[in-house]
Amino acid sequence: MPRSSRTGETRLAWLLLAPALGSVVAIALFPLAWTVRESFHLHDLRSPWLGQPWIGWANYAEAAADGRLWLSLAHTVGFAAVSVALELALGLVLALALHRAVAARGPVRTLALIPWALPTVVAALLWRFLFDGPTDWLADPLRAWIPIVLADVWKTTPFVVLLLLAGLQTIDESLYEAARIDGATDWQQFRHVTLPLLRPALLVALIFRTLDAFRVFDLIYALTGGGPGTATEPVSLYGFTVLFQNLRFGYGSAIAVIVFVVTFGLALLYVRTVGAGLLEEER
Amino acid sequence: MIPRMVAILGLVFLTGPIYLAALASVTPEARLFEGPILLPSALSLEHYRDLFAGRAFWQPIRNSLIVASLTTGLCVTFGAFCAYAIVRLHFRGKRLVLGTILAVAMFPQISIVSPLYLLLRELGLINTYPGLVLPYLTFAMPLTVWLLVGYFRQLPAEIEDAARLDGAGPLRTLGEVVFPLAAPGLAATAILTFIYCWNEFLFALAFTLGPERRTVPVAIALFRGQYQVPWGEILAASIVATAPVAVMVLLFQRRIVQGMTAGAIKG
Amino acid sequence: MASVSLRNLCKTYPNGQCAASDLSLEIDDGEFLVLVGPSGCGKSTALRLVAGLEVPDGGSIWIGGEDVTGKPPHLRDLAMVFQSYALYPHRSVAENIGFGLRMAGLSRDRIRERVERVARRLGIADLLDRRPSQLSGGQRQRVALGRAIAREPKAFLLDEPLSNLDAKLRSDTRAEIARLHRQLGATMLYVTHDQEEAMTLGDRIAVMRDGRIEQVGEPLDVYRMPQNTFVAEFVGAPTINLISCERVEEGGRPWFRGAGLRLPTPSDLREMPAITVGIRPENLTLTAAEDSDMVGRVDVVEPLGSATLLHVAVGGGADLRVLVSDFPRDRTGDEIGLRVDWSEIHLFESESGLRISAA
Repeated sequence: MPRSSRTGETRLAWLLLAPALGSVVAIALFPLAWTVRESFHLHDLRSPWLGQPWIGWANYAEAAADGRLWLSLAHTVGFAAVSVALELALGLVLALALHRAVAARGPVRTLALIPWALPTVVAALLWRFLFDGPTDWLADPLRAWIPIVLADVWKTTPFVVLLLLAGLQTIDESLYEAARIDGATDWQQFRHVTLPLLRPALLVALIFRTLDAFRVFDLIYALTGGGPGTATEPVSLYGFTVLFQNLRFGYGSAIAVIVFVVTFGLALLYVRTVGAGLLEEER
Repeated sequence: MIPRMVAILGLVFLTGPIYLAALASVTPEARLFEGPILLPSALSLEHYRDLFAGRAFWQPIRNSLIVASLTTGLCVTFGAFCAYAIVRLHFRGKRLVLGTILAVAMFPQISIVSPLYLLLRELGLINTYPGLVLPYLTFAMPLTVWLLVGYFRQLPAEIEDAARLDGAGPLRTLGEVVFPLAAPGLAATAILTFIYCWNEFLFALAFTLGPERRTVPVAIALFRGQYQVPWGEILAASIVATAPVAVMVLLFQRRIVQGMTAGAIKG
Repeated sequence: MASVSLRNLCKTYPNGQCAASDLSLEIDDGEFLVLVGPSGCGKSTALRLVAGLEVPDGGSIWIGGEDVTGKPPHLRDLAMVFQSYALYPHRSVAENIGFGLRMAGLSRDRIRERVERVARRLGIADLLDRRPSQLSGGQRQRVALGRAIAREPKAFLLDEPLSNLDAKLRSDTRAEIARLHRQLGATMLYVTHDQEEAMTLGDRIAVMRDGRIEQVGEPLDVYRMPQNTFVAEFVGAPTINLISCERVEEGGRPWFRGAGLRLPTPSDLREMPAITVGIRPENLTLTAAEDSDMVGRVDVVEPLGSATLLHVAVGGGADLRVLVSDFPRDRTGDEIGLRVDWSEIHLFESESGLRISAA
């Protein structure tokens, strides 16, 4: 008798999660597998008469030799490194300031959320507008990155600030008091109390932001379109171009797989460090 | 002193561009070319008029509203069922289920956009509402499940136990106790999901063909002027695109922050 | 009211922890039985098994002569008072108390009448329109009780209901619960880690350890005749003194010696190399060193008000607790003699801790 109650519960559980799990499997896992499959085939939508023959590693060989792909990867990694570093630094400074200036927290939090809440393309266009002037920043391959990085930092710092602020608020005040009694200066308190206890939140912010920065698309599409030429093209935009402009689904899939592998590697890092805690709580 | 100054500087940095954009959007076209505008002078609503009359901007707004609402409704409903099962019920493979759903949230959109395109084309769903709602589930469903799992964990299980002993069967417990208590969390989740859907760009760009079904972000990004960039209209459109999410943020700031940080910090 | 019967219950958690191991217990109709034991002994699990909130791996549960093992909680007609009260925060006090009645389908008038009656009995009639968040801890406790009483269930389950209250409120509410039991004639299964609550409230108490019941009986019986060292140490405050004694030959006869104590070996224990002697603190009195059974040095003096607890260091590195009526603090460090009330000592096997016999 007790057993049937247990299996009844199991059945109910699977019934409840079937739609969510099912949709995720159908709309994400299956397509991912399909992308991998496609990457080993030739699939040119402009030349349907060629069919979709198996071509083995040919797409990947082409990718290895594709200078534009490597360039876009370099752009992406560089962009991610610079943006995330700036966002974390700025976010930390602001979070610390807001933590102290208690009165400012409420209204600032509200207003600060708006850059985070609006569409990325809007942010891109706002900053394109701000840089629209006598000197054409967007025409210079190196200088064009400045509005891009600024726009990204502007849009995502609120998220980092809120995350770190929440983390700061979990640190027990009495730890600072103890440190002060022991004679620690402000900087020492920061180094030995704040920073270590803020590590989990910093890690979450770091990993979330790195994953997002690596997948950048909207921002650059709307700000520079990848230009001038391909000077600011990230790998997602290049993949998108190959797929929907050149209509080369086979090769585009290979690029997509490469992006996935790198992102997944980063995501595994996330699961290993922070996400493990989320899964641990389930018996 | 210093913290307050830094906070103010930060605030200026974060809100400045929006202020400037809003200002420019109500500045007449002619004045816009004369240089940067910092203070309001001649005000005009011509850009907004052109936006709705000339470009029929109400179309993308309608499309975004429908797609975001449908997706949010589906995801919060089924995501809540899923999250409840994960947090409260006993079954094997729980960690695998949760891990799978969360892993999907990490997928780069570029990595699944092509098969989704082929699938939607097969089903004749390109340039339709379902043709956007379906792909949106890939990020919206994991988001709602993750947020609601974090939220349900905070609800004391004992209250449900009490209801069960008081004679409420599983369904009545859900209706009488779980749902009312979970309502704030469900609301916060719905708001966050709606915002993500409203702002989505890549899938909307790939899976719509024309203005009948284009969403707001895509419509704005594809604005073309005859001779030069129509900044007035673009910025007006940006303000309009931002307005609903800004209102939501202003009204539900506390809940949104709770939702955003609870899941992250608890993990 | 009904009887409650736990028969051979087994429950193991996925992490391997055994919460119930062949657990059997009979509770008579109208009886107040207290399940007492240290944390982690499985008493709360036993309660949850009776409630139906957990499913046993083996064994059965009977309520009022009916096997309810397969029945879900909402059909068992039991009421439970939770440690954290578990009140419905979004409902008023009146709605909280009446919730179960509403589930049972009673008419609105009857619900209101019963709710008011119960509220008056518990002294919370003026709080009926408030929300739980507006109440104090003690008031919430009463609402939780009221919710249970209003249902007139077959039996009451109480899970450490007093542990979240401060000391004064705890003793007041304890008396309240005892009074309620008398007035309602209810079957009550009460779980606590506090042996004092167990002794004062229970018609019978069941001492649990690691998923097993060590001893069941009336409080004073358990106190006077603990069946093993665990029960002896758990029940009774201050804690009993347990002295390890070894068999020695002196003057051609066997004795047991330990901590400066010497007792003659009864004939049936001649083979035992060692035993444990239990002496309750109140069964030791202070005497002059000459006609004492043990000598020691007073290390700590704890005036409790009505009595004084002494910690006395005796031979063999042992520490004894001694309860005396009065002892001045400035005599700390004095050498004193102790006399044992031999009619009240307990003998236990050294290895197993099981009781040997009444001395």
